[in-house]
Amino acid sequence: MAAGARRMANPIAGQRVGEVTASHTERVEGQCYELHAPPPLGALLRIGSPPVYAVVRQIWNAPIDPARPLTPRGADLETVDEVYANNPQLTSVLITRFQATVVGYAIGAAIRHGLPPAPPILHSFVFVCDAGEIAAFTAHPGYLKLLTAEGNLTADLAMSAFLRQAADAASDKRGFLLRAGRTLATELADDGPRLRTILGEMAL
Amino acid sequence: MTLHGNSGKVNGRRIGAVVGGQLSRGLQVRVDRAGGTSIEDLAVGSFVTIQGRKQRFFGVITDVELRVADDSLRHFPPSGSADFTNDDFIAEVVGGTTAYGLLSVMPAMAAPDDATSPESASPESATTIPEHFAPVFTASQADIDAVFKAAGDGAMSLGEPQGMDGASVRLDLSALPARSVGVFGASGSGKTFLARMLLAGMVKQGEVVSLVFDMQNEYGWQGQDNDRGRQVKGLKQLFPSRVVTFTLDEASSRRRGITPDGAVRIGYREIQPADIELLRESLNLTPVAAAAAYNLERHFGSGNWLAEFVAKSGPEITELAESIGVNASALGALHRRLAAWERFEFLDPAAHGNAAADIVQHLQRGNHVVLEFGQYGRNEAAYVLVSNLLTRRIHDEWVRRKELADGGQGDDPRPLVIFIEEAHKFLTPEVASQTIFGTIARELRKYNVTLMIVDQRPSGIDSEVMSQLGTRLTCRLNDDRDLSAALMGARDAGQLREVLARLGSKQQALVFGHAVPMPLVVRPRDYDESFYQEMSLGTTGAPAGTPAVAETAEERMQREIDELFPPE
Ligand SMILES: Nc1ncnc2c1ncn2[C@@H]1O[C@H](COP(=O)(O)OP(=O)(O)O)[C@@H](O)[C@H]1O
Ligand SMILES: [Mg+2]
Repeated sequence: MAAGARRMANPIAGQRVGEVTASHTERVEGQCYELHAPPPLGALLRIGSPPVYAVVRQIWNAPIDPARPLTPRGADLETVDEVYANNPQLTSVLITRFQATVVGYAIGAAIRHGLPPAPPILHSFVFVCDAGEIAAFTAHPGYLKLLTAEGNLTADLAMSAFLRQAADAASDKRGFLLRAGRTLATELADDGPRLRTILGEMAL
Repeated sequence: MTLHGNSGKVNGRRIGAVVGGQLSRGLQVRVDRAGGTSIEDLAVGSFVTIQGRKQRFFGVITDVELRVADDSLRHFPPSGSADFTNDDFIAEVVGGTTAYGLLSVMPAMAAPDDATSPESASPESATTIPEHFAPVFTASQADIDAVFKAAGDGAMSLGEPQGMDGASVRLDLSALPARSVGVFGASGSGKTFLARMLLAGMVKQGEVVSLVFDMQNEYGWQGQDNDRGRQVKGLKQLFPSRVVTFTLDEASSRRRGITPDGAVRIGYREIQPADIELLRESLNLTPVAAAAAYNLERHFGSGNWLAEFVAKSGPEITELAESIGVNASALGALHRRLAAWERFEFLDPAAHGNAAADIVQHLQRGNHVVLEFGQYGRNEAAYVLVSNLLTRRIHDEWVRRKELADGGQGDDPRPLVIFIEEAHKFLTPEVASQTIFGTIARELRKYNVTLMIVDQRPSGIDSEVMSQLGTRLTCRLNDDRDLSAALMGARDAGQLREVLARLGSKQQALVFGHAVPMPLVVRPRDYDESFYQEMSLGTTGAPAGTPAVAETAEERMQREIDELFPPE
């Protein structure tokens, strides 16, 4: 399959997927090395060194140059793959970007849940964490604070996606979900509908 | 001393933390679900401990409640909406977090518990409450023992505290009869079994004597265990030489193959107009008809009125009515009722003397007396008449002896417990002021006589009498008024109400008052072989099998015969 066509497989855990293109203490934006090959929504990222951890909250694909919007190219073709095959230049003018919510950082071997003293520098390499890293990061439930802070539906759904992945990485999946759910229940005690949306999503 | 040094301070399983409350209304305890505790494990009436910072508290769960921190859960409970495929997960997460169990706990007793307090400091009535977030634990046998200190021969194991499998709480048998006792509960709830156990404990312990008016023939020789369809031992079988049985109905005793130690015969002379007045309801008499007995007494003289009156017939009664100034039809009604007493074989028109004399003698000798009513137990008038009359006689004797003793002549009469079933018949608000039972209840212990009353309708009992009861053991009651009456005058009535309302339908009792340091729900122990055995082992007072006070040669022979050949 031609590079740049739709990628169905997630990047392999532990793989480097892109670089930081804009960074704030609470939020990082990055660009993927490969078109249509982003870390999945909710993935835990390790960014730069010393590492900053962030959860993928939004992904979008767009032309590099916003001044040159896309136009349809497949009217006479059968499949979308043919569109890319017939227009190999597309992979160099189109890009995949993502935004991630900062949830922690490392000091030496210790992981802290919270905001780093400074954002990761630009062009920092972005890695997708593997199961071991996810499990280590979620061993204590403090990471939930920054994820719930945003407080809108799309952020909550991204958090739910993250919790599903973290549950898969945990040795006791159900126990993990219950612990996380109960922590959320106490943090969101005053917003039942929101809590239930998150709980409903995270255990899908 | 146990391995723990002070085992009373070892906490049980944690069930929650104090989150609010008030001494007068009880504490609120939020249940922790994390420890695996479910509100469904926590029954009202259960005994718990609370570890305060400076004191250890002992309390009783008086209510359980479900709360939600988030009101939307109330409107849209997780399993109610079909939108989520994983409602179970949601329910499991919110259960114990935003939806949680809350207990009401009555802090009843407290003992100092900090570095400086003596290890053995004993619990006293709680005068304050634990601090916020004090952890709450299930109680252990050691906790029960720390509070219910009764031990040794002066105590008996009453049963298992609510929710504490295998534990046992002991009842102080000296404190129990020191003030009047009430045993309440709906029919079939286990009153009789419980009361018989208490009586047995008192016989064994030996400090008091008792007189049991055994309306349904279930205390003396044997009782009927309906659930298991078998007979259980009565007091006489358990303590052949310390219990004597009398009967009102020798024919019935014979039919049941029982040889009582004596029969009670009451002379007409002993019956007073006041007795008739008390029987007004049982005899279905108008107030005028009942009061006519006083006119008759004035007319015929105090010993003779009844015999003379029933001997009259037909027109003589009308004449008599005129001459004593009583409405003729009222007097006729009275006559019909009293003439029917000819069927009462225990009544003797000719007998002189005192029907209670034999009973008094036995009681004074330290024997317990059970009076079986035979078939007369089904006749309300007979039951009320006899119990009241004998009690009056015996009470008179106790008053006389007490007054003599107070004057320096002779010893105090033995502490006596008079036991009646269906107590409301003697203690309704209308008659309580006239009957001897009402008098005894109000005198407290002045003449060394107290009551033990058993009843299924405490609301029928005069409230002043209820408030004089020292200790109450209450089984399941179904009627609201009975619930309130059973708690009348109790210190924590408000908090105990729900506990009482929730008792099991059988063999479960809330015990509170004088003889226990704090209210507690117990499952009275089974009345079975192991109970019989405990009753026969070791002794206080006189050893079982040996009379408390010298018996006559005849009595001794009879006893030995009875022991060798139980009249079964
Ligand atoms: N402590 C107990 N041990 C064994 N059986 C009991 C006990 N308490 C109650 N029962 C059972 O319940 C039945 C009813 O109890 P009972 O004391 O006669 O009730 P009540 O006097 O309140 O009408 C008994 O016949 C017996 O089968
Ligand atoms: Mg009964």
